[in-house]
Amino acid sequence: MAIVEMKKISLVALKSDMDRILKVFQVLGNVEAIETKVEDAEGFVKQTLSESALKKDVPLFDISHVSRALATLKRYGNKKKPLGYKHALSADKAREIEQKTEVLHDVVLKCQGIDDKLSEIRSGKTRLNNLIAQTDPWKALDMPIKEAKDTKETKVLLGTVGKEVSDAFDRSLIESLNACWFQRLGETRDDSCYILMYHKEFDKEAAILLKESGFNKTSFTGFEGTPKDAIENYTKQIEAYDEQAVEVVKRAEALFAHIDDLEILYDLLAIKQDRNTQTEKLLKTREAFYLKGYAPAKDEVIIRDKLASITDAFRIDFEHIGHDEVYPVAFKNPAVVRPFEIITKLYSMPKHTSIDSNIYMAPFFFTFFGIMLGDAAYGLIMAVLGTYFTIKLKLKGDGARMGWLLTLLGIATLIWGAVFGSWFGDGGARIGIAPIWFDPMTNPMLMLGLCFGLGLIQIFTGMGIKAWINIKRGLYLDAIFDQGLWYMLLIGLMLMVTPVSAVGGYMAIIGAVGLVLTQGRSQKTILSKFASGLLSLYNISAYLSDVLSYSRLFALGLATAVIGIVFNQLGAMLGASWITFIFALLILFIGHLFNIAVSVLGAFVHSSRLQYIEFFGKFFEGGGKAFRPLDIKTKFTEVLEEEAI
Amino acid sequence: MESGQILAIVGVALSVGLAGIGSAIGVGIAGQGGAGVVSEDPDKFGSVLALQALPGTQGIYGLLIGFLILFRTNFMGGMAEVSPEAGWMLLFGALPIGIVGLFSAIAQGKASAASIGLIAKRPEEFGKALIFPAIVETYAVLAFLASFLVVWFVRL
Repeated sequence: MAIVEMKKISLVALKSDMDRILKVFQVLGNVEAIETKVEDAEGFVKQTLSESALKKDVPLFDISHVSRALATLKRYGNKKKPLGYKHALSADKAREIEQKTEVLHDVVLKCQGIDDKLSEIRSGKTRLNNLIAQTDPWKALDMPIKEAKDTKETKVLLGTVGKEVSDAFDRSLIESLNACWFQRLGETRDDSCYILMYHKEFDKEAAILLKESGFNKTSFTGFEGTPKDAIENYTKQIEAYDEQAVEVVKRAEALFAHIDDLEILYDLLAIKQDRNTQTEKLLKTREAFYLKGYAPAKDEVIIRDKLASITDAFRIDFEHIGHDEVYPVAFKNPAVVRPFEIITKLYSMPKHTSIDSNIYMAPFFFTFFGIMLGDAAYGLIMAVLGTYFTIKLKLKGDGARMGWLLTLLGIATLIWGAVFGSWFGDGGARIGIAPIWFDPMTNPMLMLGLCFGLGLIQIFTGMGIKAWINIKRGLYLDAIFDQGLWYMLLIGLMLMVTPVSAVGGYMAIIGAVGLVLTQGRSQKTILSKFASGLLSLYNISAYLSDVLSYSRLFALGLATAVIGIVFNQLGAMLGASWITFIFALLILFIGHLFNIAVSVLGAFVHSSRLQYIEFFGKFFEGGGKAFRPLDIKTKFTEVLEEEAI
Repeated sequence: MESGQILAIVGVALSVGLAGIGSAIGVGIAGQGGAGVVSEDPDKFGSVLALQALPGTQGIYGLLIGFLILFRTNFMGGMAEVSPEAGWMLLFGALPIGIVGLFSAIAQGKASAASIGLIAKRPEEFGKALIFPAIVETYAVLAFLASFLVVWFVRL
């Protein structure tokens, strides 16, 4: 409905109460602390976290260590939990976890040990496998490597030449070196491996020949026996690593029992960390701290009462925010509209001085998405899935908004699909379900008319909102000149094709003349006033293209329907005997699943686009900063009592 | 086989083929950018994939028009008579989505790749990133609509 009215708060209290006060704010979830400056309060100084009073409170371990330990344990097995399960976190449970801190610390350390050991094993195995791959081509060499060296009279070489030149290499060895013996031992990916012996007398010729063929000497390090023995040795080492890995996994398994506790610990630490980061924003003296921030004006009494219930050593002021001051923006809307806030957030938060347009945007988004997807069966599936997961996963905040948005859009799709008679493409029509209103494929002109009509309504609504913003700001003339005259002109032009064309004509002329006279009012000279007034009429084409843009409603709806029909047709061509019937079912299942995926994406993108460009373009003032209060964010648990955190 | 029927099938080939080529190139361009971003931050896979998929719609529109022509001419059921004039009309009806699909998908792929870059730097601006490629798509949507109207209402 509106952008929530905020008040600026400033709070001074005792440092010894700081954590409890922040806890209160966290439970209430409606105070956003902001960065303080030293000038804000005389006598106070800025302290970093390490100097702060909370230091003694710093947990035994870092939250990142806990999350790493959890990841390690979950890699080797996880207790099956029902979808969306959350641990219930009561005050007793929190105390229990705190008492177990030592044990859990030990678990985290052990997990780190396991993780380190496993990465050691992994890199060791990789190294050994590489060695095996390198040695494998030499397997045929039946002598220890250390013995493959020069004797008094002969030269012994181990090395490779490129595969494609190896035949030529063989030939030239035979032809040009008299006292020589060689053997091809094996092949790597690109090269052939050789052992080569010749009499030292031919050293010169051999050197030239080897160089010409690109002979590469291979040197072996790390073993002295035969390559075969070396490979066997490596394989044994790998087996030893595997045994170690099994043992390490067993060690991990012994720790599985602690997973639940670690998860709760993780959330507790995360909640505490959220609080601790707030303390960095505060100003402090030796005994007191100063907090500056924002809170919704309506929550003033609750905040005061809650603080008073834990301490009386505090002073909090709620200050009215001046007209030209920036403050964070929060929406307040009825439950049905709330899911659509996501669409606006994806675009931009409105400026704090502007309006919350969600309630005007929601019906349009609902309708447009419904028409673009436009298949009753798909809509039903979406609505059921959306509801199921939102409730089952106990989604909160933006997650819940997303889930309910899916449900609402599913309902929209169900409605419009039924209106157009589309159930799984033409599946409904095949069994005789008639459209409630009409089938767009047989009556495209009516459909286009519907699209343009809806577009016109949205564009006029957008102009109306802008006019209202102008009126609210006391800019009555702007509202009359910029929106009123355009209404005159556009409605007049449309009336010209109706029986009351004369009325339309006069309206259009008054509108057009008015626009020419007023649209250049910010210009300085008479001439440029007139020129920009005249040019403004060119905007008629912008309005025209805005309206035509809504033809995408028809096109995307058509695309969904036709893809569905294609798959139905494919299925129908098969379904004669029972074996092809199974194939037909498979095609239908995969096909419609594909259609839902592709068409939902398309419908979402294009419904958003119509809001962002055609609708928001008329009035939206973006650039606001979202209100981000300190609150309880958990991953694995549901906090039951505020004493728990 | 008469020339009308052949012309109709040429129309099918052009709408499916050209728009398909465009989409393949488009998603390819966007995919290259996307893979780079995901290699830095695998959590962005979802939003990057949505952006990469955007230039894929032209290919679908092309396939739809091709299918509509097959459907109109009852190709699967032994193909109806198509006069040469109607054949030409079907062929030209297929061209808007074929040609516009080809070029708009490539252009959209580039816009998508740029938007993926935007997501890499400012993940919170997904809404805006989605808009740039979506604006390119407008023209493919219009071409699809034109192709549909011609193909659907041609008198055979």
